[in-house]
Amino acid sequence: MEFRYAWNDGEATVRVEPEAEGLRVTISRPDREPVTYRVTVVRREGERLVLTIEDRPRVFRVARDGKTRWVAQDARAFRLEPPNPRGAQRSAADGSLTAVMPGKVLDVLVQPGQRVGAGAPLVILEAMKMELRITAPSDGEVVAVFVRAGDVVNPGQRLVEVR
Amino acid sequence: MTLFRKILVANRGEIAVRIIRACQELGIPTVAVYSEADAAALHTTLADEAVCIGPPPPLQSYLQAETILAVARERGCDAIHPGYGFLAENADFAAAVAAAGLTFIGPTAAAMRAMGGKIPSRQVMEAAGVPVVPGYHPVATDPAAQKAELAEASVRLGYPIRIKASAGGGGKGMRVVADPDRFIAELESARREAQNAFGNSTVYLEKLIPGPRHIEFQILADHYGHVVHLGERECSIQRRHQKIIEETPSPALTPELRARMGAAAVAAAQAVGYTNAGTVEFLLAPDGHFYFLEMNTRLQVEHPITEAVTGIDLVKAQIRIAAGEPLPWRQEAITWRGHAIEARIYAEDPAHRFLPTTGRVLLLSEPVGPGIRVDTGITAGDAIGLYYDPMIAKLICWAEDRADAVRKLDWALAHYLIAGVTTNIPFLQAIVRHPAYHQGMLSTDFVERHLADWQPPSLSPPDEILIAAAVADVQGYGVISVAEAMASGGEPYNPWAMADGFRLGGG
Repeated sequence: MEFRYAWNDGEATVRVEPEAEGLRVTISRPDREPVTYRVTVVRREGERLVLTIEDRPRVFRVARDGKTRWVAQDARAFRLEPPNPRGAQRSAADGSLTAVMPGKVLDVLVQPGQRVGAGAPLVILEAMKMELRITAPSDGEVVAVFVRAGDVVNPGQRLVEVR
Repeated sequence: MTLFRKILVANRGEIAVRIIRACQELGIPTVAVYSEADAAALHTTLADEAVCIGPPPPLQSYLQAETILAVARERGCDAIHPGYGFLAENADFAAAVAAAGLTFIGPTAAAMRAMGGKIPSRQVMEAAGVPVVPGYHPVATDPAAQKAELAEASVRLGYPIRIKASAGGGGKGMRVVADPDRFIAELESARREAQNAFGNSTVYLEKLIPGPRHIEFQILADHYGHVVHLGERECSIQRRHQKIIEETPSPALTPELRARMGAAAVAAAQAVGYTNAGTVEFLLAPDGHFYFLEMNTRLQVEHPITEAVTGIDLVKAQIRIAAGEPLPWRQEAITWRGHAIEARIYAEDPAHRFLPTTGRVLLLSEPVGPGIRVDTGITAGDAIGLYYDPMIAKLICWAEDRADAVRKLDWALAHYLIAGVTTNIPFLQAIVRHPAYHQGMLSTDFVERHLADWQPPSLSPPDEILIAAAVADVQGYGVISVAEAMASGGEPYNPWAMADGFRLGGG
C-alpha cells in the first residue's frame, strides 16, 4: 500500500509492504533517496500506537479529522494532508477563488498588487460556525479583491483573483 | 459548619471547572449553567446539576443575568460564583443577586461601582493617597464637547498618550497615540470600540509611562474590616494588552518596595470598603515609582501563581469570606515560598497574526510532574468555536527559584500536546527561551521589543512520523464520533470493512 502526505512546504510518499516479521516501510521524499525501515506494530489502542522502528520502541498518538491526519510523538504534533488539497475553495479557470459555502468574511489579508506564495492565507471566512482560511493555490499576484470584512457571501461568489 | 447549601457557577471553561472542584472539596453541591455550545463541556458534566440557559452567543446565555438568577432560585441555590469575565464585574447583577436574598461570591455592588469604572476609581485612590498615573477625566457629558475637552487635555498632559475606556478591560477601547494629529481619529475609534464592547463609550486619558512593568497585588478582605495582601504578580508579558505570561514574585521588587506597594493595595481596598478577593493593578516605572492603574473586583485569571507561592486556595477563601467567616490570617502570617509562573494557552495561530483558531481537539495530553498545574476547561473531542475567549488552558509551574521555574515551564510547554486546534504554545516557548526573559528583563513592550518578527518554526515531519501515519492509515484511524466523521465527509472507520487489509505486527 502506498500513501502520499503533504505538509506546509513539502510532501512524501510512504510505501508499506508486509514481511514475515512485520512491515517494510519505504519513505520517498523529492529531495532524497528513498529510505527503508523495518517496522513492527507492538500495540494499538485507540489513538495510541506503539511501533518498533529498526528495533527502537516508539510511541505515537494518531488522529484523523476528515482527510487531515495528526501524528504526535512526545508532545510534537504534525499535521499531514493529502497532497494538493483544495478544501473549501476551488480555483476557477480565470484564477479567481470562489466561496463554496455561504458564510461571512471575517478578514481580508491581501491587497491587489500583492505577491503571494502558494498556501498563503488570502481571506478568512466564517461558515457553518467554522473559520475557513482561503489560501493561494499557487504563487502569483493578487489582481483583484472582490469582498470586504463583514460581507456575507454565497456559494459561487468570487472572493479574490490570483494570477 | 455548612458554608452554603448549593452554589450556582455562572461561568464556563477553566474557571467554572476550578470553582466546581473547590466546591466539591468543600462538600457544597453545584449547579452549572451552559449554552447550547457547551452541552458536553467539562464544566457542564462536572457539576451536580446543569441547566441550559440559551444559544451559544454570550449575550443570549452567559450574560443573561435574569435567567441565571431565576435558575439559581429554582434550583435552591443560596450563592452564585461569577468567576471572571461575563457577569463578574457587573454591579447590577451583584445587586440583583443580593436583592433576591442570595449571596454574590465577590465584592458588594457598591464597592464594584466605586472601583469598576476606571474614572471613579482614580478619584477614590487620589483621595486615599494612592499614587495614580497623571491623567484626565472628561467633565462634559455631551460627546462633541467631550471630544474638544479631551483634545485640549491631551496637549497639556503631553504625548505619547493613552486613551482608555472607563468601563474597559482586556485592551478593548484602548489606544496609544503618539502623534497629536491622529488624536481625534483614535479617540473616535476607541469610543466606538468601547461602546460595542461595554455598552459605554466614555473614555479618559492617561500619560503613557514608557517601558513600565505591570505589577498587581492580590488582596483578600473579610466582612469585619480585615484586609491582607498576598503579594504581587508581574504580568508584564503581554501581547496587544492581553496578558500571556505572569509570575510571582516579580524580579523587580525588593522586600521594601513589596511592603510599600502591598500597603497601598490594602489602602485602596479599604478606601471603598472592599470585601472578598480583589486585585489592585499598578504600573511600575523603571525609576521605581509606582502608579495605581485600576482594581479588578473579581478573581483574576492568573490567581493560581499566588496560590502556588502562598499555599492559600483563593477560591475557597472567596467562598469562606462570602459565607461570613473572618480571615484566619493576619498580614504577618502570609508568607511566600519559591517562584511560580503561569503561561496562558490560547487557540490562536501565531503564524497568522494570532487570529483565533477553531477546530476539534483531537489529541490532548497535559504535562504532569511536581510543581506543574494545568487549569483547563477542555477535553479531547471538544470543538473550539469563535463564541468564547480563545484561552483554553493555563499552565502553572512552581519551583524553588525563578531559574528552576523557567526551566520547568519550558519543559512543560514542550510536553503539552494539543493537536487539531492551532495554539500559541510555540510562541510561549519562544518567550520562555528568550535571554531577556531569563534575565527577568520584563516590560509590557517585551513582545514588541524582542519578538515582533517572530515566526513559528516550520518543521518537516521526521521519517518516524510518516511511518506512524502510514501504519495508522493501514489500520484505520480511531474516529472521534461517527457523526463527526460523516460531517467531515470521510468514511467512519469500520473494522469489519477491512477485508482486503492484512494483519499487522506478526499476530
